[in-house]
Amino acid sequence: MSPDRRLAAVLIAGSAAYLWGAFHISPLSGQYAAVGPRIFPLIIGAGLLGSAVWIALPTQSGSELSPINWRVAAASAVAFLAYIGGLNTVGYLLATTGFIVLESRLLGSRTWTRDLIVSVTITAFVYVVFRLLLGLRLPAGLLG
Amino acid sequence: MSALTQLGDNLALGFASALAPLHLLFGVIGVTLGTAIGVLPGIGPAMTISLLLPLTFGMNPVGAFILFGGIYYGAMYGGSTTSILVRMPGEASSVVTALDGYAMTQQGRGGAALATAAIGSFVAGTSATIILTLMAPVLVEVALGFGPTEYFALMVLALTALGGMAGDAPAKGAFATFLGLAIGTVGIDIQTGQARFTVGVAGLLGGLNVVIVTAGLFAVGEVFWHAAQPRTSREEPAALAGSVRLTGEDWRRSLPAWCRGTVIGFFTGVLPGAGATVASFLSYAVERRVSRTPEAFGHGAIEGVAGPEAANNASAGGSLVPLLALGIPGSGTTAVMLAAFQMYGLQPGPLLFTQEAGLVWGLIASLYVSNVLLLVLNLPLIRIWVRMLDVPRSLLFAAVLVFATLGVYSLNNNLFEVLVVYVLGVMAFFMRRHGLPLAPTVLGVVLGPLMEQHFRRAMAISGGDATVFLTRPVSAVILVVTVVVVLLPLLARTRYGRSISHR
Repeated sequence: MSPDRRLAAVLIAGSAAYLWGAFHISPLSGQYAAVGPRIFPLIIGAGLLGSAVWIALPTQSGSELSPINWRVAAASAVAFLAYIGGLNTVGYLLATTGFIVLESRLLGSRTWTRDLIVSVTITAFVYVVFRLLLGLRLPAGLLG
Repeated sequence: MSALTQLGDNLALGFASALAPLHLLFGVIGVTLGTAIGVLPGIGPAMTISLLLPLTFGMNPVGAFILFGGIYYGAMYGGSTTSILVRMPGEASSVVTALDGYAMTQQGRGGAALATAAIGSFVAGTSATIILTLMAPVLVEVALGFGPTEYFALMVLALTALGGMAGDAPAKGAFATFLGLAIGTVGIDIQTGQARFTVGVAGLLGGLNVVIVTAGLFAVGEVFWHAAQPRTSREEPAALAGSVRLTGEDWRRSLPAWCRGTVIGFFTGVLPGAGATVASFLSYAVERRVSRTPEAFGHGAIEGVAGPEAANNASAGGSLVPLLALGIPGSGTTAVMLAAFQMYGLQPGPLLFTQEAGLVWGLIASLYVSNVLLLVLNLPLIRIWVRMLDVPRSLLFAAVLVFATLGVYSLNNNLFEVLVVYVLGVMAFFMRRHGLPLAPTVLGVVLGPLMEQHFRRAMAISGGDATVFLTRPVSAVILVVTVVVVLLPLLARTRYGRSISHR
């Protein structure tokens, strides 16, 4: 199956799910409104399904997929998820410093000391801008 | 005459605001940041403004928009520098500049290429801002008579044009557009209070904030995409030979190219969907056609740098006309700027010009100031801008993830929203992998809820008669234009195909 066909299969399934959801919106409308909350999602659902089928048509010139470094992409995604989790537990300062070092290593950096120095600098800079300049809250965790 | 004096009053008001010390500082920060991100490939104005949205939430809107305007114009300037010196375009809108710009660098005329790009950008940016100043109030007068029917039709046009132009196939552009509209329907329906598509998750009741969507699609998605690319080495910056100056001959050849580029760029920018990249390619094609030596193009023709660089700057000015006067963006960056207006509870359009005159004219005046700042900053500091490429990409992208996370977290101190950004980032990665363009999705998210309200209001006024969109003349004309926009590329393609098969 060509990449575009596989893509279209996923998109058709997703569009059908959206359309199914749209049908389950109660059609009640406000007192003066001629159109309730269901019509617009139904139109969008039809558009989604229609364009997904259009992508599947054999007349569409199938595009070739470029090579992907799946290992790094997946590792980055996991690292980012761990960072979001880390914000909640060990807090902003530790999680951010660790994440920048880890993520830049994943992205190909090979200089530990430089990365650590830059990481601490960015973490401190963001802390100053967010907390002290703008008065925004950062996830506190262990080290506040 | 009174219209002109009023324009003068408005501009005076605007300049008083734009030249106030604090706003001038925001302007300087904006153009510096804009030039920097323009130089850096992979980081563009749409991503930068979406990262800054949460931070500017507490600022006064005038300062924030002066900052955003500076970033937008600055990115157009900065994109050319690395195109010319290392054949590494910082922005898509400077890809075409690399053809002749890099050839000039190899011939030791890199300085002249940088000069014609910078001066051309200034000429075009300033001229486009002048046309914007004159055109916006006229469009506002026209738009005062628009009702929900006309606005709905205009949004259909904007979405259709962008969806049709972006991506490698119209089918994918169409899907991306509907996807954005679908994301926009998540949350409580404001007319009836009914929850839609929230799948029982309380955090989705308030809908997906546009700030979250832009951070996820433009920032996080971009980093994931970059992470997945096979490593490539880059070329070392060529030594900048030759002075950053134009000879008399260069001036003579550049000036007409700048003028043509300005006109092409401005009107391409006003039209929804086309934008800076199309403007630069169009200008390059025109320059080659009118040139007496078309064979010189690709081998260091200065017109091939002057025209496209003028065009992409002028298109930035042009794209602000429909955004400010109608509230309808036609590109990714202006869609994020509309999101910024919405964040402040403002709706661009005719009423903004009367109710928030200080803001609108302050922003327009700041664009003149930004252009001067950019010309002053750009050429003398050119060596510093090229050094920007030495910033390790790995650290840069890691920092983008941190900024996106903390910016979104700071909105409501809510980690659920950060998770939504993460999911959208993964979605953006797969969209890019399969050639689904991101800009139509963002435009759909931003315009979708407005569009639905206009649709329902128009239908309420007409008593449920859907033909109202075709019986009201202005909306009928807009919808006919939409149909033409859809059909024209298809027709052009078949005719092009036929002319090839005839050969």
